[in-house]
Amino acid sequence: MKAGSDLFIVDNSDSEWKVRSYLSEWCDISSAIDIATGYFEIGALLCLKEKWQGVERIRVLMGDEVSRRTRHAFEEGLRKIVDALDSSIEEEKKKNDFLDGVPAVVEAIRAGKIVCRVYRRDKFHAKAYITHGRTAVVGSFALVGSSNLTYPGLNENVELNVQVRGPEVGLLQEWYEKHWQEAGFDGVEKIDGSSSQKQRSDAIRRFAPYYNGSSSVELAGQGKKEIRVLVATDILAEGLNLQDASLLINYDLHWNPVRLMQRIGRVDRRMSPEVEAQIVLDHPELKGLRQKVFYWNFLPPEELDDLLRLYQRVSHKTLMISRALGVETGKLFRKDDTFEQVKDLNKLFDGEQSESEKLRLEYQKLLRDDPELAARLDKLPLKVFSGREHPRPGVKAVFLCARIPRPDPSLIEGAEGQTRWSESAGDAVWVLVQPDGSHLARDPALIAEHIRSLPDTPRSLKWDKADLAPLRKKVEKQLIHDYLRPLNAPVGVSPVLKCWMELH
Amino acid sequence: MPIADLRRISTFEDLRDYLEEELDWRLEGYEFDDLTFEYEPEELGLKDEDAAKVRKIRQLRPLSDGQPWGIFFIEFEKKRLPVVVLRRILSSLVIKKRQSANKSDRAAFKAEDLLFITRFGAANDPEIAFAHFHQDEGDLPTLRVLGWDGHLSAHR
Repeated sequence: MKAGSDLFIVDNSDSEWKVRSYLSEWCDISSAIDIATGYFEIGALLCLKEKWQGVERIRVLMGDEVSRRTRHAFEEGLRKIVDALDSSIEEEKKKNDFLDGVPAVVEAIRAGKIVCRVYRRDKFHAKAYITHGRTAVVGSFALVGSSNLTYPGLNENVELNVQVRGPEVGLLQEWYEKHWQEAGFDGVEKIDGSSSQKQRSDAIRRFAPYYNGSSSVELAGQGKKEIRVLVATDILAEGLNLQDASLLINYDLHWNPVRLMQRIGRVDRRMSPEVEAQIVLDHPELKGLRQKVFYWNFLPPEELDDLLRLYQRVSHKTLMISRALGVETGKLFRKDDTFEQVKDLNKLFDGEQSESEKLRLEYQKLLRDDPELAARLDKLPLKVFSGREHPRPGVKAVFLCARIPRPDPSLIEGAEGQTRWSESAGDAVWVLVQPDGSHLARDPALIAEHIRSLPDTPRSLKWDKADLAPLRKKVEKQLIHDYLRPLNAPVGVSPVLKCWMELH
Repeated sequence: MPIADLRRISTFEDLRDYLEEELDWRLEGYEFDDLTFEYEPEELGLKDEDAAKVRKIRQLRPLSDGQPWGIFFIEFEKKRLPVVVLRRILSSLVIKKRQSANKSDRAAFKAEDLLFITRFGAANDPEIAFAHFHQDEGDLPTLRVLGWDGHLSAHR
């Protein structure tokens, strides 16, 4: 410490009074310490020994390059663990002392005693250590200058830091608070089962305005604030357009793979070129971010993970047996668990193409090979009926394709903002049944093998349409049970039959 | 509606007609089957011995999207209302605190938002009763049963 009138300089040159010494002393007399730093390394806290644990709260506001430096510090720490095995006993003890402090820091971060924020608005290069005095008599202090919150910054480098005391510390506290707030997330909102339908619809529009028929400009004109981070329960998992978002974090993974896929599908579904162009036009800074959708999944607890692995193994074996015996549908833990759902999920995680993806690629190839096909498909009536001979002689079956409606956020009606259900917001399902309604099959790949036709495959109808009415009713009932009951679909919402084909 | 006509209501289908025609519920002429979701006792966690006491379980589909409350029609084989079975059904339908414990194949409700309309009794003299669970914090849910004849009872 060097003193000249009221100016105290701390530059680490005094072996007794380094920045670390100041902070150690202040830990005893402060209830909280706010730290601004360009870089943060865990070693800086560790060198304060247990002193920092006496402070009730430590806030660290840092520049965004700090994460790399901190990661290096952690990597270095891990490397030292390995190296310690070869070192002398004394050296090992020293390094273990260093490591002893890490769990306490980790625990303090978990408990919210140490809170870190990264300032991203501009390059953050400020260095300040500002205390909040435990008692008014002692008061608050600050050290402002060049020392980063790193071991060299507190101990070794030649730095230039100036101590501030008295009323000026209040000004520094205000400065810190302002930047701390700026580094936080704004526009955070949550919706759950207790939110009204109107609140949900409002939140969806403010979170994903462009894919729900609005825009940032329109929201601003209505005096509504956009939502940047939306925290939601499963109520947002299905039937909504949330493609404005580019990151989905799944916490508390759903046991049913289909529900999980539906969640991801809210964000990772077909993008509209026009809407994407408008987003980039209004927000040029998002141009590079609009190419990909990211999702993070918090993995399930170990026991459930083991169960899922077992499920994967058993489903694979049973599927092989089912195929060998010609059984078209596989069931496992529950009545409605089909192997197709699990296969799709496994393949999604493994990076393989699922059967559904292969079918979509086949469809796209058909469109490429026949440029007029798309126009012909557009002209097809809303319901299509056809028939052909079954590829296997003597086998009879009926193929049905239906759309399952889902809530459509673009169709809000009534004073309470109720969402209407629409086909376009929903998904298509394929079903293959025997004429008596038995042996329900849902595997699209398997069904495709039965119905795949070429342009010269003869159209052949043998059955009276009226005779198929009870079968259609039976299948509809099953689809309501399997798809609409889980969604608690209101009265009047039913599967919409789009096409069917007799195979005789 | 005269009381004599009310007393003639002995099936869920009769009750459905009463709700629409007399109480103006917007059921839009749908048949009972189309108005309800079907459940198997096993889906609601009932073991064989309890499942044997149940003839039919149906849920009235929501009348509007996002409706928080639910009405279940349950027909029992027993001559008296089997309270334990009803309690087991309740525990299967209420929202669990841990999200992943909730079943994905059906809706879940707060206990107070559920009404069970039950049918039981002898074949030639069936009874209809309304059952509702009320729970104070830290206490077991209390079952309150209101018979079609107006008789009220409570079971803890």
